[in-house]
Amino acid sequence: MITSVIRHEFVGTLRDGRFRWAAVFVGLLLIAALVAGWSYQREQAEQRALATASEDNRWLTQPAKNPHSAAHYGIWAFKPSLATSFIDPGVEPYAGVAVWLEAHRQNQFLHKPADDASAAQRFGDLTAALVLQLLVPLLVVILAFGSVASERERGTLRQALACGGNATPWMWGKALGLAAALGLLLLPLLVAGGALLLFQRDNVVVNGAWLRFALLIASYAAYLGIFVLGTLAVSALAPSARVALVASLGLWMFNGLLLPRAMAEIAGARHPTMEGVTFRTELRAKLDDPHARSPRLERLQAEMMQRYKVTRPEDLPLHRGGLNLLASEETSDAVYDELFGRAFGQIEAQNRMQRAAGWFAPLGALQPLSLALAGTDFAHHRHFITAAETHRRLMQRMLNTDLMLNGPRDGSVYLADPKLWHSIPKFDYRPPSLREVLQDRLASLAGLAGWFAVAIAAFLHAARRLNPI
Amino acid sequence: MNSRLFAWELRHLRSDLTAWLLGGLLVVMTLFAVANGAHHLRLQHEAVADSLALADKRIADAKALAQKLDAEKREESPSRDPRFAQGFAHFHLQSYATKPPLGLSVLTKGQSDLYPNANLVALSSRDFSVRGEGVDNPQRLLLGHFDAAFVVVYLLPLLLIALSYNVLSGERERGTLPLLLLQHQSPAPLVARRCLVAGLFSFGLLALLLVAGLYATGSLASAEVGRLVAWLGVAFAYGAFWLALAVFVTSRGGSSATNAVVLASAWLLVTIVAPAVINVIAKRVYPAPSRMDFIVAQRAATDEISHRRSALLAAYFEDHPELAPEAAKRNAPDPQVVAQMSYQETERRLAPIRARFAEQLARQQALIEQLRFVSPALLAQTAFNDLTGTGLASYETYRTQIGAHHDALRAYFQPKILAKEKFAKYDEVPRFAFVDEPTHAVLARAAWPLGALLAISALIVVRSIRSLRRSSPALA
Repeated sequence: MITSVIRHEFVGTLRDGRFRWAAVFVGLLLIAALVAGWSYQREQAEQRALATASEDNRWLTQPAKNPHSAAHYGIWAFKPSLATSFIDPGVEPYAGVAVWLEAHRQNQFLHKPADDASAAQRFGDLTAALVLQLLVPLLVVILAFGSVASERERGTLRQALACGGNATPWMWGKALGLAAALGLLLLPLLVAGGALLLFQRDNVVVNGAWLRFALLIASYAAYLGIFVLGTLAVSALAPSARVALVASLGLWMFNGLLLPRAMAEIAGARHPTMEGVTFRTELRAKLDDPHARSPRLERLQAEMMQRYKVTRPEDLPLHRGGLNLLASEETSDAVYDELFGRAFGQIEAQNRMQRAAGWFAPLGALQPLSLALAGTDFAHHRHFITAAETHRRLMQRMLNTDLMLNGPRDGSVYLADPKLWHSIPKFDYRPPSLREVLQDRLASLAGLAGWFAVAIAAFLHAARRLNPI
Repeated sequence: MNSRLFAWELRHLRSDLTAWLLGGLLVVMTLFAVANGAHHLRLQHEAVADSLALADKRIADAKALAQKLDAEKREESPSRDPRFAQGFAHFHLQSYATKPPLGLSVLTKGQSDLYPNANLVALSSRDFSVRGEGVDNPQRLLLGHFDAAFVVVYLLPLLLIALSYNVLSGERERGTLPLLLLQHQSPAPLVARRCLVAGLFSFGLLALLLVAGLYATGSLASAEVGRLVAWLGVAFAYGAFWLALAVFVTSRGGSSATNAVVLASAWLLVTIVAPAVINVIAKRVYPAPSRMDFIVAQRAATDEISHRRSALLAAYFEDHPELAPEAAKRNAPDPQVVAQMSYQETERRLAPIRARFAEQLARQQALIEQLRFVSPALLAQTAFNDLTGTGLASYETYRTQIGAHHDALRAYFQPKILAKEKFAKYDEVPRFAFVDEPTHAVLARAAWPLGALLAISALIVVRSIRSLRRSSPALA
């Protein structure tokens, strides 16, 4: 029975005028979104590669100069994208692309693409994620709301179940038939997404890209499965097709529209981020604190005196300025760790609360997962910030150490050999591994699986209670 | 219109449980939205007040330090001494440019979460003067806000659709339509009456809640009447568009379910798909120039200046012979003179790049301005942003004024720094005062979306009535 119901539902859906129109429309949007995302990503990757090469070249071709001048000259670090980011660009428009690694300062990211954006930007970009998270579920609702209820109203449900069989296989047949038709619609995502991923090898991070892509597809399939099963359950339980439609649309709206924004507002109010002026004032006060540097300088000095086996600081065979700079960088590093740690902690707290939306609606579980797999959530952004800052500190330490060891003690000018610039390792960023990402998003994974289980339970419950009259 | 029939429709609405439920939902969502807007406005006010207080405190501290140094006859490094223009301007001064938020912005956050309302104007760099200082949550910016504009743009249409999608089809499906049409040849008056009641109910409730919300949050007193009326006018016109569309769909004679599906799809198209497509088109046609290229250009300019420092300095001294050092000190020019020369040269080189950026963004913006007429949602949102001072135009004005303030500060201090002047006129330092666009200019700009929304609605209604009249027998 089940195979013939699947075939009937599949063919019926394909013949449905609504499906054909919607399929063409959604398919075109999906392909347009994928191509637009991919081409934007490619352009960004090319620009980033050029800018990085230019910065590397600039750094390495510096003439002989004082290491501290080189430290102030610094280098710009540009954030690379993961190959899967074209599916869900996430925070990329709002997070900035470049950071300047220079002496004394942990700079903030500059040049957010959204800084140059219009009001249309706030409505959201046309992305594959948008199509799959909002549009396709609505299509499912439109196709499936009357699937059972209308059959009952027309009296065909009675005929279908007349042979006294169980309604559950019949319902499964409906669900699988509809899912098969949807699968056909989503084939472009699989083919085009896969092909674009295949051609997108240059200047983007491709490590684990295929696995990430496969998990993205699986997550979205589960999400859409929840909608197929849920809408059919509503259609079976509702007294009429009209009620089924209104209820399904209401749930869709709550899932996609109300909950994410409401949770974002609540999380923002519950865990407010530090205001710009406060951040700056506190930062400056801590950096200018004359007492903060002394203990570090004393400790460093004591270490050096022990190493060089001298009893008085003035006997150290070291450049005083270099030693001071080392201590000063250590002091400011601690201040930046504290302040940025607190600011990022507030953001993480907001995002954690936002992820709690996963308990109330499936999109709340899918969205963090999608962003994480595409490598475009705040956690990935912070990972890059931390890596860039670690590199800045390494650069500063190497340059200051060179000044301390080789700087003349008589106050004459010291120019470091350009070999020093070459000795500093290149900033080679590795994004978090998939395992780390998934460990971080276990709750969202569990949430999505939980919603899938709830949808199956609701579906089975509806099938058992199905009343053909 | 017959008042008795109108009163009957009101009674009909009152007895409808769905209307009560939807009304309740609207109340909860609008109050939540206004509370969010008020919270955001309070934070903005605090940011503005804190930065101004900090700026004043820095000046007061500098004055006190100057007095102390004088009293103790102490010397301090010129780069930190508040008694010298250089020390005061570069070390003590923190000049903030602030944009006081409008009370009406309780209703629309617009772009105000993206751009700060208080900027520290850096004397050394024009670019640093327009960047924010706080650490924002990009994920929150991505999700957007839940303000009154969101309620109007996204939720009000759904409410109106829910109240009006079956005004005619519902009666037909229940078999009561022929009875209702006994008095009229056409169902047009019935549809008009019901939609009018639904519209007045929803919009009346919304307007009441918004005005009450503004009053409760203390923003009503500071809100300009013209802007508030225009805001409500745009909300009304946008609601009218959705009602007109509902009437149009109803006039096609479909079933309730078909109407609901068509209207839900139209909602999706107008509020989500069209703005996203417009966004993509504008970005593809006039892509914003790469900021990474800007960084590369900026670095190239800095390098070039440092490589050609002697030649550039020589040229600079030809223009400013009064600053030229004595022959004996030619190899060690004053660092302040070098900084001034470098700044001027960097500005000269970056000016065309900045202009290219501005031109391209202006072209992109102009295209969106035209394309927004395709999506009434985008049309309404841009008008809401404009009217509450949270739109691009307002922030563009602010950014231009920040640039001018940066220039004013440099013009004030730079000659004094180069002349190594003593400084004591702390209260005469140029201060920033934001001059907002005149209200009439904003209202004139908002008149376009308002007019367009009303015109589209009127056209749809006329078309629908014609269609209802023509097909009345079939509908019954």
